[in-house]
Amino acid sequence: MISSSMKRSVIAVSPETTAQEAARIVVSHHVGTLPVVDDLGVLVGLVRLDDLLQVFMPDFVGLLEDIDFVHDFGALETLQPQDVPEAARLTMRDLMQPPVAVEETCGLLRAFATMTQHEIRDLPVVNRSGALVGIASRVDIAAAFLAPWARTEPPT
Amino acid sequence: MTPPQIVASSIFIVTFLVILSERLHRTIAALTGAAVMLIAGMSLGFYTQEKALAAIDFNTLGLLLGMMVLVRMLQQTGFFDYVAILAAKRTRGSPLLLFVTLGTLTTVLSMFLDNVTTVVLIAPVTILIAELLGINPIPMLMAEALLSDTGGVATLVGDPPNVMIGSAAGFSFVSFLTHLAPIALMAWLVALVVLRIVFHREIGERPGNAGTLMQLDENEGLHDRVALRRILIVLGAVIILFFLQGVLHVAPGVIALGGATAALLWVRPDVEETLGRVEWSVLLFFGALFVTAGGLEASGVLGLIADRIAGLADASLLGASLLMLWVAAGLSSVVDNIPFTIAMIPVIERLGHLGINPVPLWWALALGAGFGGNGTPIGSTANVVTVTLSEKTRTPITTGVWMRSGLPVMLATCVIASVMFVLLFGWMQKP
Repeated sequence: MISSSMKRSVIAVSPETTAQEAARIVVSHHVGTLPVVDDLGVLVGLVRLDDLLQVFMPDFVGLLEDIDFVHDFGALETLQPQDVPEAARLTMRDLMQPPVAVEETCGLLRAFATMTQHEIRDLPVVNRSGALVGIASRVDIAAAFLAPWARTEPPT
Repeated sequence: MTPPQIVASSIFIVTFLVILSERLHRTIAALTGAAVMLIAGMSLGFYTQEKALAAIDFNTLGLLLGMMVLVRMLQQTGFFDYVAILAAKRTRGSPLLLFVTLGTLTTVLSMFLDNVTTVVLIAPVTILIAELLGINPIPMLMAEALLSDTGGVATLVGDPPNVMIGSAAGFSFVSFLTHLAPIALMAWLVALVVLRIVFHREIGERPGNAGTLMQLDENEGLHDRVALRRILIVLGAVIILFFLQGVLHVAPGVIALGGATAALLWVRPDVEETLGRVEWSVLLFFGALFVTAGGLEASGVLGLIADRIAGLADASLLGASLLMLWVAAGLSSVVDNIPFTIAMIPVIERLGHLGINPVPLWWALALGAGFGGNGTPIGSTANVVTVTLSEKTRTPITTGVWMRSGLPVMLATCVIASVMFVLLFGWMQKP
């Protein structure tokens, strides 16, 4: 079950949290997904690193099917977040994606499949009333699933 | 007008207005118009299933479908990224040269490919190049959107109105080239000059490090050289057959579908994916419009219009042709140019039966429908696509930008087309 392999201390943000504040959280806690919760602790959205970095990505990245032939982003690489004035005005409400979550009783394979399908790296876990109670990363889930196998002797 | 004529006109006008309003997807609007027209026609006795089926120009649909399949296959090989990067590197990052080169490349490509495909393929690479150089992509994107429409005028296969006109009038590929390509060439020049003046500030920008442009490796854009070579051979053969069409007496639709079949047989791509990329909604839209306009014709309305125009054309064929050009241009600038073209085809055919030389009217319709689309952001699908793509960037093309660049280009190209039409009128009267 997912509840036995998730982290219970979740760093969540509110819809009003600014992008810069979110950046501080990412830098200090090294987390890749920020669950967005309302005043009651109910999950209302997800901000992934992709959503945060998208603000600084060159436009062509989203438009070209293939960027393998672009060996060097040139001057675009020297761009600093503080050079993008509109980034300072963004809040989580602007960046967040619709919430994806499972309940505590969800099985590990279903949890992993949910993550793959929605292209997220961390899966929020909610209780019956929709309140955020934990979060599990891909590694948390895969390790919990593979653990019994790892402990078994290989067949001879 | 008889009651059936009033009903048929009302159905056509409502369909036209719904397409114009964009409240409903144009394909759904046209299909609904076709269905209502057929039901009304069968109940009032002016239209039949057989006539509706006969109204669909399968040569046009076959030509469009065949070319779409070939272009989709070509796109999957990465050919367009390759060509655009190769051309851009030749400019060494000069904004003016980039603007001229990419605009010209679009003109040439859109002579053989449909305009929408051309901009869908070229615009993303353009945005890449502009970002790497730190220059404004708008002048280049506008040049591409506008020149895809003007380039398309030059050939039989360049854009859908030409395909339809060529099919209805029986004009050959060579005939289109000799009549319209010189005018399209002038339009290319005029459009570049107008845009150069309008965007003098943006084009005068000093680009950043051109090294980032030069490091792009066009060869890595190519995914499948074997398939590319085969598709280019087939495409070359198709174009040669278009040139020989007058000698061979093979319909362009048959040539294009034959080419698509040969390419599929030789390359064996993932058929589901390749055919999934064909714009079926466009083909269905055209088919439905043929049925809708067919009802209008069957009711006799288009005959009435033709009789009205006949007097004018009798008095001055040149005047009627220029009127056709400007009316087509005006309407095409605010609404898709296909409904008007499809409705005008039976009118011009009837004028031919009334003893008027229809040839200059065909050319005028092709020129007006082709150049008129540049007038507004919604005038052609290529414009809509370019604006939509630019909205995903930090430098969107606003309606204001369009009105100070696209509209002057549309007016200038229509003026130059009119002048050349007058000067070459003797030539324009021959197919």
